[in-house]
Amino acid sequence: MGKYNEVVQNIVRGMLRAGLVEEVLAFARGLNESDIVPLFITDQQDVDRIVTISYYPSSLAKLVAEYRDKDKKIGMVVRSCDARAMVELAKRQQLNLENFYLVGIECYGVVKNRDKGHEIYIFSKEMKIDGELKPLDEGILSPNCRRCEYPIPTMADVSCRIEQSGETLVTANTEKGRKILSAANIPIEEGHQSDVTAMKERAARWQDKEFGELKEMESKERLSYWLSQFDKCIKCYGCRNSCPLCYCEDCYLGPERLLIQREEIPPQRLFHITRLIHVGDSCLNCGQCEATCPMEIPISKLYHMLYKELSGIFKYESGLDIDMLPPVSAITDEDLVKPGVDLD
Amino acid sequence: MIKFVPTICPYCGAGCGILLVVKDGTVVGTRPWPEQPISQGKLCIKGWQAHEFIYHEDRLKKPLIKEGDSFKEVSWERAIKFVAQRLGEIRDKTGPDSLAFLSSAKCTNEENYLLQKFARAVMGTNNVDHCARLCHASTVAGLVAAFGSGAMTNSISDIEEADCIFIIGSDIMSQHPLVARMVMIAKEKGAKVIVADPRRVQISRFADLHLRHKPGSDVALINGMMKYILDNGLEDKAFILERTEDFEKLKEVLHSLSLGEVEKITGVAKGEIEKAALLYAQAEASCIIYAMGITQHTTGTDNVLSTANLAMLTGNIGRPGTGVNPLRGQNNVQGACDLGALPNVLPGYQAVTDDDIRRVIAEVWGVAELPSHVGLTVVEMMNSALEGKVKAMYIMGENPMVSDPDISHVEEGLNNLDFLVVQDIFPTETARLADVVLPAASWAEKEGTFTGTDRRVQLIKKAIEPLWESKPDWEIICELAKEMKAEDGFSFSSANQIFEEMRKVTPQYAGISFTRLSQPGGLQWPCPKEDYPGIPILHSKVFTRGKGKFHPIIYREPAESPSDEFPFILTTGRVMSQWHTRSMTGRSPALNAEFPEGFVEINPEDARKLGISDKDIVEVSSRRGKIQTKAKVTDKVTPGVIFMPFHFAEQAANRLTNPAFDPIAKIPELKVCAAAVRSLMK
Repeated sequence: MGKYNEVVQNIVRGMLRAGLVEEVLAFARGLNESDIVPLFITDQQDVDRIVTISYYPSSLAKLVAEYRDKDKKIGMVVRSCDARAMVELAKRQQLNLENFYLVGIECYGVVKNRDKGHEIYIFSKEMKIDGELKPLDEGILSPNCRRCEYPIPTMADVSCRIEQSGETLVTANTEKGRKILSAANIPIEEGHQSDVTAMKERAARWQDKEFGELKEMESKERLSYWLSQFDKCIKCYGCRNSCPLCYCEDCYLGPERLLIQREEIPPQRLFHITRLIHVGDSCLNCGQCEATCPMEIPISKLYHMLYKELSGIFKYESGLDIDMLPPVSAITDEDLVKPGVDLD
Repeated sequence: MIKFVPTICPYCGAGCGILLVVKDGTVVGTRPWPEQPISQGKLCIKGWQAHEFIYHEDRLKKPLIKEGDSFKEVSWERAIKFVAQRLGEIRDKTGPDSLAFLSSAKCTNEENYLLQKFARAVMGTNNVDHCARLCHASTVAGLVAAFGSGAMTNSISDIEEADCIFIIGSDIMSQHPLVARMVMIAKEKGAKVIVADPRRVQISRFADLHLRHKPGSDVALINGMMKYILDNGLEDKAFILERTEDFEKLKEVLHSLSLGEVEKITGVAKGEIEKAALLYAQAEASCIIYAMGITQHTTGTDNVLSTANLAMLTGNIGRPGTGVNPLRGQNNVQGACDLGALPNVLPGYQAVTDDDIRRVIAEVWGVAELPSHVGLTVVEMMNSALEGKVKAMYIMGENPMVSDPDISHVEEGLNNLDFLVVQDIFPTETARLADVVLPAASWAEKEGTFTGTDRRVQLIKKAIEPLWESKPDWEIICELAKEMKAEDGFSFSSANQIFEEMRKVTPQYAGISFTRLSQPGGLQWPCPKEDYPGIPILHSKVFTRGKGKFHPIIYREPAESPSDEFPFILTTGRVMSQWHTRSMTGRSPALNAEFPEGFVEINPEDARKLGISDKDIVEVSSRRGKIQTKAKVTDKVTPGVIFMPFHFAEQAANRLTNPAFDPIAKIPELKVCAAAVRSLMK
């Protein structure tokens, strides 16, 4: 495992040593090799625990948004969905990107259920099964990852492309990125990002398949599909608690607001639709809502589908650029008469 | 500095993993722990909010001694001296059996072990019990008799292997949501789901068959299913022949039974019972899941034995996806039983009446002898307190003033004591009656182990130092024992040290150590040796007792039936965001707000007859008392049945419930009593 993580670990060591950041948030080994947990690292000796295994069980952006020390400079080892979430949070004044040093790793998806015989890293386009190298089986990836169009964390300060051979190419995307690489004594390379064509094709194929299955349904059938999914909801609020875009301190869905009837399980069906309306136009398809759902409601599919519709109409892409505002903030009179908006 | 501390949820018995978020020494949140095998990165609402009560201002901060009508803060030294002196005096004057101890299903294994050791070795009494008496005493009694081991036969993760899942008396999606997850996964893979529950609970929406039998008619229902299986030759003859005994006795009882009669008793149509029997008997692997819906009855043990009969009759035991799977309600109720916080057994379910066992354990504990007669159970303790036979009680982390049946009676009993000590994290309804209140540290403030419902022993980690002047329960017991000149057996300085002694006298835990537990998921007992991996499925080749034993069970009516004066059957249970007596959830804003007050569910038909509308204030009464609460008019209950959650001290369902108990397990009939409802609206 060492060779794949070495560059990332070197960068983190460099950032800490040079004092660019006070702590670094990354996924790391916990109680044993397969226990992957978020870890705030301040001590050089913990850097060795950082992993890039194909299993990132929570949104790091959510963790810093929720728990960080507001006055600290923090480094993060991120995938592009984490990096994009950071951009969206910054857009919404929930954090200042100047305080964060983002080290991105190209990511081709995380597995849904881990098989201990498989060796897969987030940057893998292949997988090792019992030691033998095979093409990546898309079927074992988390559904949101299969639909993902953003393998390269261009919005991070640094992006690392790691090859199965262990070779790593590092690119600085920002001035902060150059500082990071210089602190880690890594020569600054440019223009070595991967070709994303194959990834975009994969994403389109899976989006067509998964959204297509829903769109093909008669409207009544589609409604009853979602209602029966919502019937499984146990109101754990895990989707909200995991969503990097859900940051309201006083949540609309909370029991004190009485908008969603309390003392009732499953919650009224509009529970999920209400959250959809709140975050749908900027959904990052990070899949956290679905990953934490005890009842495996395919929430991410619903949110991502609506996002793609809106994204097509308003030519808006979430998480790429801090200056690109979501439709809700940027809508114009012209937008209101576009096909598909149908306000009348 | 932010740390994520891996530990175990303090609520139900599923044993989910959580990461406590600790920022500069303060717990600020809870996140799921992906690698933990039960919860797998998911949590229910209680798990997500597990941290919320820790810093509540109500926490007991200093030891308290009652002076007149109020409590006075005192030093630990003074409190311990006082308790030691009073317990000593009472023991010397009226004998060891005038003392009684309630241990706690919320405390760690180490703490339960120490409290029962203190009761037995220092005070000399077997009067030690805990609230397992109120939830699964009948499970332990029934499954020990049938199989030889009173625990869940299979594992939580194993449920997804089932082809048919028979859930009886468990509101699983509210009360064990991460176990319900396994049911949903099995269903997704094609498993059939049968739910037997008088109420329309959430899981019944996903059931292939929902049998809404009358509360208390479980034996008749299962006997009916078995009758149909036998009549149609669907039993597993080879399994019965090779693995079981007393089949003829069961057959004899079922011989004279008619399904028409069963239909009358249960209120479930004959055809439905037949369908259930077919689904269960014909599946490759069928699993039974149950909870307090069948245990809290005067026929609790009979109900449990009936599930064992059904599983053995069809060979559905000892294989993946099968088994008889009680879902234990509390984080460590399994462990509290395992470690001997019961009046009839020492750690490891070893009978107090067995001379050899007592001798061996007395030697490890360094005492000359241990009491040899079976002690009092929870309900018997309260009765004895009222009769004046029990003079002093020591209650660790329990709240009988809300949790026990007929709490007016409990109150009289506790008030009649000469001396009551309550050790808790919050000033509970019970603590208010105490002479001395000792502040305990919460689960986030100490080390130790919890044992989940599937026999899974897991480490809990100290995330922060004990708050205010509180101390971990085990430290308090050690200090008390030292004060009573028993320091030799109680000079522990860590939970690990206690565990090391504990495993010497508990065969199921002998191979487990803190080092071995330092991995996600811990180990499942029985684990007799250091190189054993632990056992996910019990009884796979032989039953713990050798052969599985059939018990012929005849249906008996509940202790109370509806009458003209009390025409309803009142059944009780829990809601999704509250926990038992609310001492924790009531102080967790996110949880309390979901279900802030008590209510009574009543069917629209009954409500109309009584002129009751939704949210009306009504009076609910039984032979024991009356309370006022809010009506919820809903078809979740059938006509003739009303339901109340038991959490709420202000609308206490247990003012009404019946303390009549099962003759074997002594579990009270919390699930059925006769009651009346009337509107209080003008």
